[in-house]
Amino acid sequence: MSTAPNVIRRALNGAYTLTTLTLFVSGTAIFLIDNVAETTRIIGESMTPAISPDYNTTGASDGLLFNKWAPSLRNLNRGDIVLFHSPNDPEKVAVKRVIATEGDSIILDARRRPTRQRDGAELPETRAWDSMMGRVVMVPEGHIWVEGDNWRNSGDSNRYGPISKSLVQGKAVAVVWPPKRFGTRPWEGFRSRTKVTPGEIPRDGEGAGLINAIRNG
Amino acid sequence: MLRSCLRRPYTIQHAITPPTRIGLRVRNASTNKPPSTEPTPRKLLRYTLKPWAAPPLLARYPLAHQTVQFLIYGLAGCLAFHIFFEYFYVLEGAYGISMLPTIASSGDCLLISKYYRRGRQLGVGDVVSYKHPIKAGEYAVKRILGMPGDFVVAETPGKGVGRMIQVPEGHCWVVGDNLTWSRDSRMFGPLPLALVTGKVLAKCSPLWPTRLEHELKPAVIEEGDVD
Repeated sequence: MSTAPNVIRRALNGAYTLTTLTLFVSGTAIFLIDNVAETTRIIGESMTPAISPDYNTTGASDGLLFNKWAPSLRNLNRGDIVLFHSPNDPEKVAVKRVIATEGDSIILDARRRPTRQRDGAELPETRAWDSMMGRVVMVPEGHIWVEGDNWRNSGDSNRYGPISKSLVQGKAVAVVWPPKRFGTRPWEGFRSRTKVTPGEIPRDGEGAGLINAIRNG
Repeated sequence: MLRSCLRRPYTIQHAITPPTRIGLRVRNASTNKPPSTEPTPRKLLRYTLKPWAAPPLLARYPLAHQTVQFLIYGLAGCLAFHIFFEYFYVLEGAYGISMLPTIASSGDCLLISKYYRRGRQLGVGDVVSYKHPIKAGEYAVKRILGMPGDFVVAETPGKGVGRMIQVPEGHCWVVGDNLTWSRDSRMFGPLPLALVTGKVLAKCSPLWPTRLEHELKPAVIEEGDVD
């Protein structure tokens, strides 16, 4: 009953359905992963013991679900875990905790002095950090101060300074891997030794001159 | 079973003509039998228990079928446009005087290529669009003066001591063409390359498109400039 033209016709129809279905599904997946939510594995030990606690012994990394919906990224609170493009390498993505938001004044934690990893030698970043240590540093407008929980081994704002909020891609929602910790938020309740005095960027008054000049483009 | 539920409708009285695919007729058109009446509640109950015996679901409600088809095509179109604008090319309007005379203060549309996002294959002299580091959610267009490792004058030439700075790795130094009226890296410091969204290839003035030149030229000092 199925003649040759029939077979070809059905094969072409099947191919058409398959192609459109693939394009539809991949297009939706790309849109969702870019704009709505994304899961990613946290490699590295900069956020232990809250996230990836066994990374330096077994190499096991946690998977986290991040909320990438842009309106909810506008208000970042102190203590949130954020996913952001690394300022020193545009192709790398980093996960750290927000310690201070714009306008806050911070006093650096003396344990987090950045030195070279393998032998503790001084780096250019060490000099910059030393000039900020002991003074009160204000986080500029539109920027945030991020730090990794593990003060022994973390490349964060102590190394590259406050980062722009526009670099932030997502905010952590919950752990999704390993299954026994699914749905938990193990990073809550962290007490940072970096002292933060909440504050706001002055919108009117003497301090507002340059800031308003930049804002009003 | 799902396929038989969603199969496109056979021709029934006053129904829409099914569109053809790749110039082919709808297959199996002769094997489908139209129902004699509208689905009664008893028939619906019977089809709930044996869904594979029912005529195709969407065929029983041609208006719903038409709507669903329209929505699916609309969604596919939106997705395609979104992905094209996000990863390939986009046309954006630009407003502001900081890039005069290259880009007019208003009315110009810029063709931005997203291939160069995050600093891929960018060099000194390229006009790029980037997310503003201070004003979250806004975008700006400026010219790159220094890539990582380059030494740039951190202030306006002629004003100040001429302090030079080396652009750190992963950052670039952006300056507007209209130096007097541009807020750029001289104010907010080096720009992380991760914030760069694309390179401006051409602008469409209201009448005709012009390609932008991606090279540094000596400054033009206009007579009567306000200092």
